[in-house]
Amino acid sequence: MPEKGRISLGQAAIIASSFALGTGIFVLPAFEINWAREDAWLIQVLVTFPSLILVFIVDKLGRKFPGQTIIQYSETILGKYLGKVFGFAVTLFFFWTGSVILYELAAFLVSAVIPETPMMVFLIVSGLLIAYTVYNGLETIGRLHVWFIPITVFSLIFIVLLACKEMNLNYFQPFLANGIAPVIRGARTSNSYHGCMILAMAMLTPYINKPGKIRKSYIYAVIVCSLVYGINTVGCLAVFGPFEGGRVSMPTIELVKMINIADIIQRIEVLLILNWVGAVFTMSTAWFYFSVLGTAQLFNLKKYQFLVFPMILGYIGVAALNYRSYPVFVDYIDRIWAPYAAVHEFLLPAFLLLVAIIRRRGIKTDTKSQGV
Amino acid sequence: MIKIHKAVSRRKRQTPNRESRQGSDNIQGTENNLGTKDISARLSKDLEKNESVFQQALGNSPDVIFRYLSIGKQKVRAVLIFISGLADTASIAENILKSLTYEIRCEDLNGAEQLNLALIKENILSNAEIAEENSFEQLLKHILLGDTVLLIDSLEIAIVIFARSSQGFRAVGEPVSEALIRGPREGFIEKLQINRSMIRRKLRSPKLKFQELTIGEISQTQVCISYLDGIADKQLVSEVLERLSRIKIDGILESGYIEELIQDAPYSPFPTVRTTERPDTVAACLLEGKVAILVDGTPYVIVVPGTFIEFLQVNEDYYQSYIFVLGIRILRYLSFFITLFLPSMYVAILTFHQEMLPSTLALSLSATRQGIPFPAFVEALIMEVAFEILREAGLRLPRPVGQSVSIVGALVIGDAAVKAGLVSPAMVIIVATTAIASFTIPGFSLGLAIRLLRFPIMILSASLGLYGLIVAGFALFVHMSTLRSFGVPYLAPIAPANWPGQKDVFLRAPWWAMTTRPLDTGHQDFMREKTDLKPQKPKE
Repeated sequence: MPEKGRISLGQAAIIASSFALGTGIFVLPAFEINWAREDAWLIQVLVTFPSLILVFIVDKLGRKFPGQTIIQYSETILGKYLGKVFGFAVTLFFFWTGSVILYELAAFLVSAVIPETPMMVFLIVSGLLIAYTVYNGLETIGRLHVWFIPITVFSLIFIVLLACKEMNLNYFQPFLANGIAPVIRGARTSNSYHGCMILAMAMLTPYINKPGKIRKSYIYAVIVCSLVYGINTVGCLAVFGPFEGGRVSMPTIELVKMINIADIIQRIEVLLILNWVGAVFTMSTAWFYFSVLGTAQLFNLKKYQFLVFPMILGYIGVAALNYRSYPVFVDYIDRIWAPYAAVHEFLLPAFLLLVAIIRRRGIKTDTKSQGV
Repeated sequence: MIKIHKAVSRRKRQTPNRESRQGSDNIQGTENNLGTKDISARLSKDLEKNESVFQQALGNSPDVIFRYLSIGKQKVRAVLIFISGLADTASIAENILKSLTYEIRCEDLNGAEQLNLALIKENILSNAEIAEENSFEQLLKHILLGDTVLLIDSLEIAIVIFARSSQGFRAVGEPVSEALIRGPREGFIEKLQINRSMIRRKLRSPKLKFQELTIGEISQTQVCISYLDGIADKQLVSEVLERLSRIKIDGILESGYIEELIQDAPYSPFPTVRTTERPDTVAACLLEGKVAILVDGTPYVIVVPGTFIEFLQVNEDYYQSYIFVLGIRILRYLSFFITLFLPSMYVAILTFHQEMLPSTLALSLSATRQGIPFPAFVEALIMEVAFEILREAGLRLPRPVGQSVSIVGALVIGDAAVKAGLVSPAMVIIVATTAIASFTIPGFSLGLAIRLLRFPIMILSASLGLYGLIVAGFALFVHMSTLRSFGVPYLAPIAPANWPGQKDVFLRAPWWAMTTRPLDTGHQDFMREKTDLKPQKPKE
């Protein structure tokens, strides 16, 4: 196994939730409000269910193939060649999405923090930092996430609370004026964000030191994620309304800028932006780690450390060259990335489980005895 | 050779509670460092021969004393060898010379047959501690440690008399580097035996074990590890012993030598072993299952494993009321961040993020910076370097001159520089705040690391703004979370977080709630106290 480190169940759940939490905070409210208008708050209720189903699928796979990641058991299930193709697809998905996140981080810094500096500077500095973290292994990543993800979550809730003064609850009416279809269309991107989390679980399960109630903690993670997104969406919708909220590219940041309490708590956006930079950075680190680990497992390597530096160059390159501008990028996320991700997150594990059951691969598991 | 070692280790100990335990435990593995070949041999019956070996090995150094005497009516020749200054000459004169020469001058000994070791040891010498020894190498070692060797004609075994001089050491006093308000005022001194007894006085339990090694080919420094049997992890103890026995060096003059030779991350600025001058701190660490390394000749005792939070804790935290300790600890963590990040933050905000400041503050700041010739970064760099120079000068200067340094520093750096328009007053405030905050960090070695790391962080934030700052913070966090000290994660119990450990990180749980030892080091004997110790109202 290329990874020697072990993490605790709580760390695994937090790493998985960081898979969804980092960038989603900035971009998701805009997508949701843009499509679903007044009913954007419904989306987070809807997307919880497919993710919960996915938790059961991936958990079942993890129990059938203990000690293996999704890359490894896809080979066990589908045979050497098709399995490798599947593993490659998943690894590519990790790599690609990770670089998308890196671009998002840099674009965000350029637009909100230091406008004059070229984006390449941010890409390279962040890339090197990510490489350094990943080089040090899973345990370090786990320790990093345990501190930064909770801070992000609490600061987000804090912001929404501070912005209460600006909220107008009339923006939530009328309920389902255009039917359910726009809500479902708006849920697509959010759904893909949620699904990432479970894919992370499929990668992390073999590295948990005391595998206890894995399924339960992931269900908690999914619900917490939905709650955080829901609070965020509700806050943005209540402050900006169904039309302006969809037009602003990063509504959460506009939300922070509006906070002014007694002229004392004001202009806190830079501090929060920095906090979120941390969250996005940890997120991108986790994605990059999984792409490196996936590559190592694809080729049955004993170590993955030597892959870090060459791969981070590709990572930076993909992030730098792919998108012409931020609006293009947003469009890409909504129209192309979301279905692309959904295929890997939902269809692939479901297909694997189906084949595993048909071909009778893996250990027979009794769900009842495991304790949910 | 093996036979000799066995013989040596089987030799009788005269007093069970001898002060020192050097000898058989550590001769295995130590090489003959004295050069000549015949030293490894054993004593012969010929006194002259034996004596000449010592003469040859020790040379004609003026501090090595060969005192010839003859015992009893038959005038059996004997010689005392010791080093003046190391051995206690008064005790030698009173207990050895007087009894060997004057008191039995008329006794009929009937030659050497009757003058056997038992007679000398039991009837003649009146010292408390005596041992027998027959290898030249061990005898030389004893002489160099300050013991006295008595060679007697026609005897193949020499007598080692432990009469070391207690002169030449300062008295036990208050440690200079770790001041406190409430708590014991004693600190370690340079003498290993005294330090050891100070720990023993704190923990009078047979569980307290000491194990001694000799390190240093030339210096032959006594190094002693100390741990509580049954509480300290056996693996940790053997790991410490293994790392210590790996050291092959000419001399150990301070525990810093050992610190650098055994620590886990030799390239990291962060210290991974803890040093302290206080016996109570060492005792507390031993109770947590750690291992202490005492080195002869220095008051600084090494404690391993050393984790990050320990450098931000003081023993007084455990003596004062836990309610105030919470506040004080938060203050200390805050000042840790101030020391590390405040100048960089100031530079970053002034250079990149002026919009963060409230308008009035921004206006008054820009007013004070009117006419300052340097950008904020250069200004900060100048002031920080100037302050570091002042601090270093204050440390090295003889005390009477110290005052003038502080006057010059305060006037020139503080006042004149501002009046001349070279530095803005805001910058002086920032630097002063940083300086004062840096003094609140209890662990001096961590303080050094932070002082140094401030500068790269300043450069990063001057070039990338607050983003640079957060990159630096992340890199430091990642670096620290990869470190380990003797198997314990450096950031434990912060990251990886464990619940029982949180009792002693940001807050210090009251003693009635501190039921467990730290998970990482004390897991062998996890419970520290009974669980129902909380003070309760008396029953009616």
